[in-house]
Amino acid sequence: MGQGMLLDCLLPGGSLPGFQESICGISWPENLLEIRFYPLYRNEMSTCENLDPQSDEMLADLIKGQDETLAQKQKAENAFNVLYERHAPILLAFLKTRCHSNLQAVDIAQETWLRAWQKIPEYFDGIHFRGWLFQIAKNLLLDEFRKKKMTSLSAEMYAPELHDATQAFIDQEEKQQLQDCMSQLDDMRQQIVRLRLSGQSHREISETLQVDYTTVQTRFHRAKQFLEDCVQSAQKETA
Amino acid sequence: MLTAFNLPEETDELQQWLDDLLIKPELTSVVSQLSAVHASNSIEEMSLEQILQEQADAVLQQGCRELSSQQIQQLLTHPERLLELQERLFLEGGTFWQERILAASDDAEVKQSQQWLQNQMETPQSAEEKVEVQQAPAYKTVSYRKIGLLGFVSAALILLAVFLNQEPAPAPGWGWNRPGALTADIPAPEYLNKLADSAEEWFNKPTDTRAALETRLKQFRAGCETLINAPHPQLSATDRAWLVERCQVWAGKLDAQIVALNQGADLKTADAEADALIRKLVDALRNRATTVS
Repeated sequence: MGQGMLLDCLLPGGSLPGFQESICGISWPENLLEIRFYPLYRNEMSTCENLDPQSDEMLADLIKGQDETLAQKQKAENAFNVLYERHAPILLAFLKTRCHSNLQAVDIAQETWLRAWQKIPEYFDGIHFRGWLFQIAKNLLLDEFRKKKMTSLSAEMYAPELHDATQAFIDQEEKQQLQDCMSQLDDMRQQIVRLRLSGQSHREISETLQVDYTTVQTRFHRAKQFLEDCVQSAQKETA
Repeated sequence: MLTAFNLPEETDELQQWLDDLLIKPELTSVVSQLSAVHASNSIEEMSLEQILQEQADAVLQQGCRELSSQQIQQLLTHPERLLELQERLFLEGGTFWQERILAASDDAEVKQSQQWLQNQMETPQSAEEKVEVQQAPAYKTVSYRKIGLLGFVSAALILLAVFLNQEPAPAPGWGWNRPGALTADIPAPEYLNKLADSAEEWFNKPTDTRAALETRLKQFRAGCETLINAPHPQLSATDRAWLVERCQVWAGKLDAQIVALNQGADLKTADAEADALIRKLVDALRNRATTVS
């Protein structure tokens, strides 16, 4: 990377010194050349974030002094704010993909950050902060699922043991309803649906099954319609 | 509704479809549908690494256009791997993914949460430290009687000022501040339900003016503090820790709501948000009551 690019990434908007020590009260390296020796966040990432003068791990180290003097607590809070601004939007966006509502996602994100603040001194081992943060968030999510499993009869019927985090995020009720509806299709239609949902085109399916192209199209379309109606009525019954 | 059934036919369209889907909440639903459709297939298990092979880094940097049609088919027939891939994109994805994720994110929510968090980080311990710093001259000058007296008067005035600023004073009489609300004489499940009943007293009085809502919020917040500091002897250590932790979270949210109200938040919205928070905490207490013995 040329020096110009390096400066672009370091100094948002192309501004030059005076910027040092001005962000959240954290001491930034005075000599820009020092920056190349700071550990990168993740070697394989190529964002400007990599070149932040303070790596996540260094910021976490500052946070470990939160219980000491007032000045150190202030530094710890500033460092935590930098970490927050760096990772909070991504964490919240991730939680929104895994939660049933925005409110729940915001709630879990807040609790994750609160725990991170409280637990960094004791539990953060100095490696891959975002991974550690996501692990806290996923544990909180699993706790939520477990609570729901205990209080919801329908979830109890379908939910697997939650030792597998990925399984927990699959809507087991939706899966079961669709599976039941699928079993009501004849073999040929089931096969067409499976092939289509494995990414094959109608043309490829017609070649694989030696069935006319239009027939494949029509049968898939009708099967989809049937499954939508079937799942909808199953959902109404459950509700 | 059955989103998975709308997947495009051509490989390049499938790649774009996956790029969009992988950062959306709809993915979990698509994965459920794909899992249902492929449930009876006896397909050999494959890990994400086996599917992505040497394209793993390229996908993290450039998106799904790096995937072959065979790899896409493997992902679709092993749908749980899509969730794993999604998590990796959020954790380690390069600019391609970060920009897409950030474009869809809500800055206001992130800022609001930061405000809430800052309130949480202001621990009682630091408040005490600050008071100690303010009081220090009074102790140091105790041998000089006049100055000592001045110091004492100053400290008393500061304390008085602090006291007067803490309005409203912890309100006796309702919610968790009602005498007997935190009784030790009943078993844990009943106790948690009683706490929920006390919290529901929030709804006993109208909060249709800005002043009424603010006072009520502050009083409820004071009740939270009482709850945080109470011994709850009938609860197990885990349940006690849970309760205190939840109370701290609720207290932080109440603080954020008070701040928002002072900054001119719409009264109706603020009132609805406060009601929603109380309902939520009541539900949490009642749910917990079903799990404790």
